[in-house]
Amino acid sequence: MMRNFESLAYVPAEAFLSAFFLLALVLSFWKRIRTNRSLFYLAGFFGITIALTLELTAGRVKGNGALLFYGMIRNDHLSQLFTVLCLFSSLFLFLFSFISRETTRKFKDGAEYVLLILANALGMVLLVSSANLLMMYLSLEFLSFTSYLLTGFVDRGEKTSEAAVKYLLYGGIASGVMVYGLSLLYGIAGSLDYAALHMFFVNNTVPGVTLAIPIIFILAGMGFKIAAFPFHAWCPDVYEGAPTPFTAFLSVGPKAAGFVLIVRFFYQIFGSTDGGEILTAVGGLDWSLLFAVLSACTMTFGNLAALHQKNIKRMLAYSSIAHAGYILMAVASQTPFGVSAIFFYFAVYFLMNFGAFLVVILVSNEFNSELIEDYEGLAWKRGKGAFLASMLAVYLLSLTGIPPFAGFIGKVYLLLAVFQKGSSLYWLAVVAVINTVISLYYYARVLQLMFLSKRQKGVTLSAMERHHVVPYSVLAGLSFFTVLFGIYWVPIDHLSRLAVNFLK
Amino acid sequence: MTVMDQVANIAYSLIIPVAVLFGFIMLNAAYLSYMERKVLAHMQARMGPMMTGWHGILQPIADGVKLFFKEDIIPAKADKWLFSLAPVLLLIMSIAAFVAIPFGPPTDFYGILSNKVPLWLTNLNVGILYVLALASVGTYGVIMAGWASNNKYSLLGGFRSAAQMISYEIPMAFAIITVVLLAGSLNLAEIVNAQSEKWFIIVLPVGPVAFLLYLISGVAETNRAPFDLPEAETELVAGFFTEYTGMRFAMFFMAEYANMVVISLLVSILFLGGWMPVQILPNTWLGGMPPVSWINGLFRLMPPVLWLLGKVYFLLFFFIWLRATLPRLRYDQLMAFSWKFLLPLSLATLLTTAVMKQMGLL
Amino acid sequence: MLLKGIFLYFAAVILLSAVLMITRRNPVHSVVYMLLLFFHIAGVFVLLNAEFLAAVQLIVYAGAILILYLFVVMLLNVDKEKLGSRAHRFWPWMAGFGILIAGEVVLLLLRGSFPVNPELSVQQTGAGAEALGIALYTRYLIPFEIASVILLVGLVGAVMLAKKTIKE
Repeated sequence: MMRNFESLAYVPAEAFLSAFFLLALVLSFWKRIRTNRSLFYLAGFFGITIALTLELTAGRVKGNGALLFYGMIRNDHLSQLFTVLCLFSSLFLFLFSFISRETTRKFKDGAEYVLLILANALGMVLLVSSANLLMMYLSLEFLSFTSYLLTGFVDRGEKTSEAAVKYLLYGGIASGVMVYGLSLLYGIAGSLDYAALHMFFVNNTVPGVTLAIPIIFILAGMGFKIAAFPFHAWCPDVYEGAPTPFTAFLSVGPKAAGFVLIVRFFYQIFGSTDGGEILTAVGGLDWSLLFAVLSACTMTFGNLAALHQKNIKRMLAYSSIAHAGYILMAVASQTPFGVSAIFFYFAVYFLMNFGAFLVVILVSNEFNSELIEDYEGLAWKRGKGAFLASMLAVYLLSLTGIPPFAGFIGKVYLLLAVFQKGSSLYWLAVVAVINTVISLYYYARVLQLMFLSKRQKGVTLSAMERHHVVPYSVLAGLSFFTVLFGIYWVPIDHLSRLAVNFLK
Repeated sequence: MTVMDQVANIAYSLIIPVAVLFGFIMLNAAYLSYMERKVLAHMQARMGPMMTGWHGILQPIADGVKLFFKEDIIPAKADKWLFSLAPVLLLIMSIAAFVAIPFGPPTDFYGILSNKVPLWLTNLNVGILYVLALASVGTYGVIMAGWASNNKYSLLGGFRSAAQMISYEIPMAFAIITVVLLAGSLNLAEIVNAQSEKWFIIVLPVGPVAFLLYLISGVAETNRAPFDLPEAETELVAGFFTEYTGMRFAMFFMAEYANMVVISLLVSILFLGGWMPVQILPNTWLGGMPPVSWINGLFRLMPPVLWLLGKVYFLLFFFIWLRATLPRLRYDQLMAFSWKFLLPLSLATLLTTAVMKQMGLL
Repeated sequence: MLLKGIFLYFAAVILLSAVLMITRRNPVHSVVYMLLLFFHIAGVFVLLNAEFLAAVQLIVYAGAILILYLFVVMLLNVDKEKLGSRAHRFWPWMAGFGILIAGEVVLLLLRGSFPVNPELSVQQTGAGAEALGIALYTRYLIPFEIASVILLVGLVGAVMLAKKTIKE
């Protein structure tokens, strides 16, 4: 356990982000700087880039990591991997904000927007590495708080207000319930520290109901963050009302951070490995079954609700609920391999989800519409339309989980984790496969509209211009990797194997 | 211990101090109004009350009798419950603050008592926070009175005062924390004892600044001129207590004067050395030559309580003096002054104190 | 015995004022009951020898947060609020759910083994300002700083939201 100042050297990215956030805040006091939006965007972009570089060049973690700041923060492979993932998603948020018309035209100065994104990134990287209930709760609040504000940032009328207020109220109640659960857990075990809590539950048996109540309360907060089934209600409205770049970000970065929170909480406190391939549950709570049920409900609900959506952002929102359900399978598997599978899936999901949203942004830049029916005949509108449509096809097919795209491999990993657990969870694998078939229907509906209908109604696309080069090449790059990792996924596999180390 | 001893014990430790303290508060509340009218009158070249008793000395009693027998009116549309609660709450909060204030070191009254008794009711170890908490809760009385009267002048007055009190509480709290840093304690008696060598007002460079911050915020907290916007008679009739009559009205007045006394007591305790006598020159000056030590010894002859009360009455006089001298601020000036000037200044003072203390310069 | 009596008084008033707070039709009255609630919670802190927390409870919650609520609530049209029903259409379900959770918590308290950790007792660690300060600035420094950054972000957000209403 390391003291405060010694620990700073181990968290260069976090330290840099906090300092940069404060610096940017002070700089934004000058009107000249704050009204220059592109300057501030660039500053934010470079800030995240530097943090990313610092994280990537930081010293290698040895073994199962180190406890920093008196055990508040844990620096291990899991936290490093997800820190990089989260920072990349913040980077893409900046990139998309440059591209999207909503975020480039609709507000006057970008200082607060950039500041909030920086704070949000800081919240995420703290969340993925916290090893203490207090730290975990605070960074979760930090992340949620900035997310509420960013949701309501671009004023698009009633929808935005509805989204922001719903998000805030829902989040407030979820975190209130969660902190109540945390306080009960503290009352039971007398400690806030993950390791100490683990030791307590190894050495003491707690009556089932005593533990079940705090765990359910805590799950409410976690489920809210990842939009799992009974706590998902905010998700579609927020995704629809928020600025599209932020929607894309919300379904990747914060969600990944939320999953790390779940993994750390349950694997570190309520699981113990004896070098085996499956964790044994500690504390007399069968959380494998709990998550299996949660996962089945979440994916089924998400897919069924996505079937009848008219707005593509809402459709992708429900699809992201379904994906959270898939990923929960890996948590339910209770295996170290499950953690690898989660990272693998997020790495892939990052590519395809950001890609799909980038197409949505570009189309809405052209049509000013997010309705699925406006995508009709997109493939036949100039070369640009054909490009956009085929890119969207790649991402949607990958999201469905069809080979040879990366999404397929991701799903295979998740299913492998479930199979490793043994026959008790085979039913969950069956549910997942059925769900994949359901999801094919609504993804394919978009494809059918784009490709098979030649009726070219509505607006035409503008001609290709010079400043279009960046977004279109990003789009192509994302799809390249989506295909590449569907064929050759060894690099990600290597990385994801590292994530397990925190359990040793 | 016999029953009589126990009774005597309780009487000495509780009943007599409470009675003395209560008498002190009530007398002050009554005679401060007389003092205010007299001082104001003389500053404006008038005589003030002259009819009741010698130079109007019985005026507060006459006023009290009049208010006591006046009809108690509750407006028909008022929220009766809150309307009656508000003045009581305000008065209780301002009187309760006296409980934690030390008036002097333990004394045996020049040998009259067999052992030394402390001149305070309780010596809370977070005394200063307690007083601060009561002050912040007192705001409710004002805002509730304004709202419950169901009168637009009252409501505006109530809002103004709540906004004002919240805004000025912040620099006030920072000034207090500066003192706490200097004294290293939250206990009021210890804060006074820490000033036996040097009053905090002359601890350069932060002392005078913190003193001014506290004094200004204190005047604003009590809604006194030049910060008396909540009851600005030219625009709001009488602000939040427009609708009040009789004893309820009197309670607001008593609370206001009691608050003034509390603020003066705190200024004396925090910055002016509490019950410590004035030291014109350090004892060691000129090697402790006779004239210096004589003067200092002379000052020390006066009982500590009187030193404290002397400072308090000077400050009360100063408050009245301010009212006679300064015009009322405009509302936006008032808010801007607190948030844009006092708050940054108080933060800077606190930071300077902390740094200098850490470097061993204070 | 006396302490227990005082505690029971505080507990009873806390419960009563909490119930009254959510059942009053007049939101201003609700706020007043909440003030009463805060006072008695501060009282419980004093019983636990945590005077510092008691004072902070009053200064922060009663003195700052609740007064802002009162500000907002007083600007509402109270007469209109009074007319509306306090209970939602689904209140029996909600009440049932609430009772269920309350029952579970009671069960938790009865059957749960809350180990008394001597290190945690207030008398030993001292909930005085000094002990609290030392804890906050060593072991809990990072959470403390994060909390302050959260407040800073809240400030930025408030400025951002308030700025929108002014059309330039």
